[in-house]
Amino acid sequence: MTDQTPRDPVDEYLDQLRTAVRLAPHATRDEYVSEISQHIAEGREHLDPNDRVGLRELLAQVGDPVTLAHDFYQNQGIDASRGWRRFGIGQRIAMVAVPLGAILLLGLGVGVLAWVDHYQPLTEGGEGSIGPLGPHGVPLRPLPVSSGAQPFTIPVYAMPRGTSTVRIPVYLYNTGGRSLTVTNIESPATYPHVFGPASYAYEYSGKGTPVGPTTFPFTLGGHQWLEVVLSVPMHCTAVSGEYVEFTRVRVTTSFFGVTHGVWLNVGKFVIQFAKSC
Amino acid sequence: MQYMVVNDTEKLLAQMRRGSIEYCVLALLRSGDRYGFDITRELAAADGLVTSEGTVYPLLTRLRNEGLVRTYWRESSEGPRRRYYHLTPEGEEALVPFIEQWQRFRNSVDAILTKERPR
Repeated sequence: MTDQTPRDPVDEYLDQLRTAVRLAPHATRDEYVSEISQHIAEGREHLDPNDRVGLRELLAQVGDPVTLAHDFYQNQGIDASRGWRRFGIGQRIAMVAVPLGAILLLGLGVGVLAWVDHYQPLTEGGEGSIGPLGPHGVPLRPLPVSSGAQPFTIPVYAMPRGTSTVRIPVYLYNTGGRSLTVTNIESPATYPHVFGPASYAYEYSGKGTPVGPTTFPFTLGGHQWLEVVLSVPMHCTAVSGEYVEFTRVRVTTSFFGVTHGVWLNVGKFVIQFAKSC
Repeated sequence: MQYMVVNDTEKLLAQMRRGSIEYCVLALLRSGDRYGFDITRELAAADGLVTSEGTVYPLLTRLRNEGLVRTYWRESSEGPRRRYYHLTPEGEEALVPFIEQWQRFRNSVDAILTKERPR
């Protein structure tokens, strides 16, 4: 069921007028509609309350809402043309160009952010390994594969008693054209009671002699390579006789403040702990 | 064709009204303060001066904004309070040259319109 009671023609008329003058400032149009409303109320006082024909004539005398609005806008100096006609060519261009420019800038911004967020031009270089140093800093020789210690074709080093230092070379190559900041290279070993953190990096001289230390962070220029030797302290513990295989390290870089992590392969090698520590 | 003639007459009247109606309002207020309904009805009663009573109110607002009239509210015994319009000295000053020029203009136009065609 819907309410079939007809609306008061005056209310309907004033609604139409309000709609017609909606482009004017609030205060001005409210005042105008109020004046027209009062005018109608004055006119109604001279009519019989049930004289609907008289009321219609009164509203007709007041004027068609659209015509009144047109006159009202003219008096207020308001350009009430609809749609594009309200605006000059410059404004029209600006109305299209500004949002379009904003969208393009936003897209560009998002694109740059996405690029920075995913920028990771590091690649690992050629394989190589230095292996562990003995207690006196003397490099240990790889065990012969024929010894049967490991069925692999990768170097196996015997870990002596006490504390040694495992040196792991990491070849970094920045394939991008922009400088990167290398903030850390984590120890590849996940036995915290055996291996200490890889807290230092050494630039490798190429002759087996470290020329460092180089502390984190350091910068790697665009299209440049660097061989960094990680020094990881290692303690011979009760896990004697076990093997640890080193295959990769996690390198953390920073680009425009955005941190990235990448796993880089290192030359595979295995450490065999001494049978008795 | 008849519609076109009527339409042209409307345009003609609208053009003639445009420059004169505000002075007619000022002239009405010379005889005393009036409220909106009163002004519009009087103008509407004069043939051709107002086609829609509602168009007088924006005009009154403009006159008020220009300082040619000022308004005040007065209680009415017949209904809601009414906004009255009062002619300011500036409004009176504005009316003087219009009256002079209008008479000259009207005389000039009359003289031309009533001039007989040469035979």
